[in-house]
Amino acid sequence: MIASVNSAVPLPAGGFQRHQLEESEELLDSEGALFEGANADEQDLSIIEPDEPAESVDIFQEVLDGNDGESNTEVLQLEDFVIQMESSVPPMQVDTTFVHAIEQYLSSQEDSPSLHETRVIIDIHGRKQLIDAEDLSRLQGPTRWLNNFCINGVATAIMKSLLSEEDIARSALLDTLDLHRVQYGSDEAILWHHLAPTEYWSKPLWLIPVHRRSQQHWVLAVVSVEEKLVFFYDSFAEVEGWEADFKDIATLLSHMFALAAAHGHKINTKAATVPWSAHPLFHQNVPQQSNSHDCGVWVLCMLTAILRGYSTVNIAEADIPYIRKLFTRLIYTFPRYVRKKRGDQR
Amino acid sequence: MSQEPEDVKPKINLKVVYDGEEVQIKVKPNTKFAKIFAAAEQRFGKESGTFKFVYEGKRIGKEDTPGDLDIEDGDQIDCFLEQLGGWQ
Repeated sequence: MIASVNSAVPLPAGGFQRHQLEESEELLDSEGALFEGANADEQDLSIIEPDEPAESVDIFQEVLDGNDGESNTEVLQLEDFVIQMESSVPPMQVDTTFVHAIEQYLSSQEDSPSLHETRVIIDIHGRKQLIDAEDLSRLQGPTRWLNNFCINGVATAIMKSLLSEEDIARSALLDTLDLHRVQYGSDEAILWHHLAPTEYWSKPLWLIPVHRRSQQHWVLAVVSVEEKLVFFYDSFAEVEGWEADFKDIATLLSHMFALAAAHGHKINTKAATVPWSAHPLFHQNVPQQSNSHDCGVWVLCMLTAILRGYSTVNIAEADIPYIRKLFTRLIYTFPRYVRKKRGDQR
Repeated sequence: MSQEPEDVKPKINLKVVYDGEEVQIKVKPNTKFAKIFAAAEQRFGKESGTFKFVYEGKRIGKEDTPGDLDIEDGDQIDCFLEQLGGWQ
């Protein structure tokens, strides 16, 4: 099942598709009707289609061209991944000290709370995560839902502040949008642009935060690459719903393997005859969450534990509001985002 | 905020960028962003309200206008998809 080729995706030839002019006119009509009503000024907003590809297209294209001279004609061979779900729970190593580790880190740092400032967290690979005031109020609010900016920002902040070099070398932390891009069929150049900075091909663990759009639920998958194991975590301790996630994760994995190979990076795994299997990082029907707002915080706690080399945490639902505060303070130890241009004005 | 519609004011071009794809939108400085958001979301094929729009690191509000934010001709607006989860 590993060796069979199920699909072939052509690499992008000329960057991004441009939209048709007719579409823009259609859009304008509906916009005009929607917003302007009777006293319409149709000229209020118009969409311009550039003749030549935009600058940003070139940046993405470079990523491929720089490494692969024949990218325009080559076809990426995607392997057919099948992930078999098992119910056996692996031996769990409990991270009993992560709260203490954050407290200790905070006591050694100056944090400067300011509700009106966007913070910037730059990861070890130079990728930027911005968390603005609205995101921070979600993180801090005891019953607020977390968005992707909270998840990616805090996870990156943990990676930047709490980990040893050994920890960092072990894990590739994916962005919550990486899986989304596969679900929505982004092309290979964009996938590679976002994934390459993690240097995932050299890391034994890949951490994939999963956003279930239909349920508005955060869960987590962790891939132990060489062992061909996928571990999955849901704060509600439910196995339901994972089938669909594994389909998407399998697609993402096949892209990651093919992209790494296309760029000359070899990833070692167990023999092709060994199937991929998935195991829960929770005991079925022993949920950690009973409310309807903390799944993102649970995912962040698990991400922290796994980044630190453990596989579970020993906290209770009652601890979550305090942990939200700790995560918020952690973000406040990172610098304010400074505007690039005309910084002195306004 | 008390900008009267001055037709003398030249329109400006905004470069709206989502995940490497960009679209140019030409607007008046006093056009509310609600309208620009809707146009961009529709153009990028996303549901209304799923984008966060950022100018120089700051989130843009629906009621803001390019004029309010000192946005100049050719400036870039970044769109990010917002994923929200808690459990419902």
